[in-house]
Amino acid sequence: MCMAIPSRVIAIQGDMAQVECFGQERSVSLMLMNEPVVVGDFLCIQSGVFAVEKVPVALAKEALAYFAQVLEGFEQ
Amino acid sequence: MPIEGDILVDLTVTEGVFSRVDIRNQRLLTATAPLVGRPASDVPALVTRLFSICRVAQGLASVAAVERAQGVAPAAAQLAARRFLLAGETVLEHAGRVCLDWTQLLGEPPALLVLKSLRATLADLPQSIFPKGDWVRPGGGALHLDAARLREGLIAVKAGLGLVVFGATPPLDAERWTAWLAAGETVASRLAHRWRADGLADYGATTLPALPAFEPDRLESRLAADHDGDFVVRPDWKDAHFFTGPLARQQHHPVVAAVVGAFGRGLLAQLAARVIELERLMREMQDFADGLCDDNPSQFMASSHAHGVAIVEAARGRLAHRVEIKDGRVTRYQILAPTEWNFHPQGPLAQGLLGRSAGNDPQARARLVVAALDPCVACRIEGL
Repeated sequence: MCMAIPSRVIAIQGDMAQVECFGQERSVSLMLMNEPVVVGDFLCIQSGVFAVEKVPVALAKEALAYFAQVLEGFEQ
Repeated sequence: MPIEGDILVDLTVTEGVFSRVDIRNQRLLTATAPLVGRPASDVPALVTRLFSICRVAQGLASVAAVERAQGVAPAAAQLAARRFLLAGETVLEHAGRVCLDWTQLLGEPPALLVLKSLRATLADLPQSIFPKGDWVRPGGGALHLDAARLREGLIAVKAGLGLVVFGATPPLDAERWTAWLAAGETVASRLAHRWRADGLADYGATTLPALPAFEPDRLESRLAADHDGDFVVRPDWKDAHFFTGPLARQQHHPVVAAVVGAFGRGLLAQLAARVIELERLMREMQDFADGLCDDNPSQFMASSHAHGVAIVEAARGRLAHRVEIKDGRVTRYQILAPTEWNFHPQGPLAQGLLGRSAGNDPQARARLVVAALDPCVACRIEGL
């Protein structure tokens, strides 16, 4: 419900970024971003297609640790 | 499948109609489990960081559930500020549909500049009201208004919505609706016109009713007894299924009621409801901004053992959070989200497609109804 697990930018080409999250890679648009994005940034992705905001590293790590627990519980 | 999960819609077309519509919810509905054990007072802020697509609605439902559990009643000023923030988020979510989804349906480029501007303004709103960022602090945060920034922000939002939704005049009555359709000045009016012209105004119409108001004790009982999670995954209310969202909220507005009367609760009614709701939200935001006042954060003391349920009307529909607390820590946390009503196996998507013409492009037809119901996750369509 309304989750946007932070995805890490691994490559940028023009207005598109390749991002990774728990080993899953996808291509997302940066066209809605209001601030510059660089490789290594964590992004909040909406609708699986658009990056909408940067997530500070500390908060991204907190969220990723949380969702790792969720995924572990889901797989069980 | 995306890491957040998705909704799988498995379809069969027989002799040109959808003969089978199976919906499988593959979302991470156990996502609240790791909240157990955390200090209850910390959970609302954490919820806004985790469930960030509708972070305001999720955060407000969370803080209200914690407050109910603790017997805390925030001041009227806090509640007004929260309603203002929720309205802002709902405006942004609806605007996102207009600027991204509706332009795509028209074959037009996405209205990215308008959406970026709206996003920048609306994302800034919490800071204009709660400068310390504690808007989900149980009991209330440090409310200190930046009236000039609010005023400028609302002017900018109104201008943006004028460009893509309202045009010169919001279509608030039958005469203005007809003129608005004919003028075709905006994305919204062009899509409405297109659907009427293409005979799709009634497409996907559901005969299911709008989700009624919950009796609080009954909701508490259903959630408390939901140990296997079946209710939050496939909710019913009094053994019936419903739709929730903007159409449920605006169905009694004369313009929306007239569209429903002519075309049922299909694509055009869903569009009309969002247009009317956007106008209503802008007026509410202006009223709240005029009436907001500064307030200090409250004292918050955790009690030993309690539970609380809170309901918020999020952009996509009714959202409920329930929390159980013992010795200040969460012992159980549940979320009942609007997507689970709208994408229930016997809900409005299934009912709106079954038996309906699949057209020349069944996947595109199915996507129209999915977009109208607006899930908060990706939706895969298979079987065609």
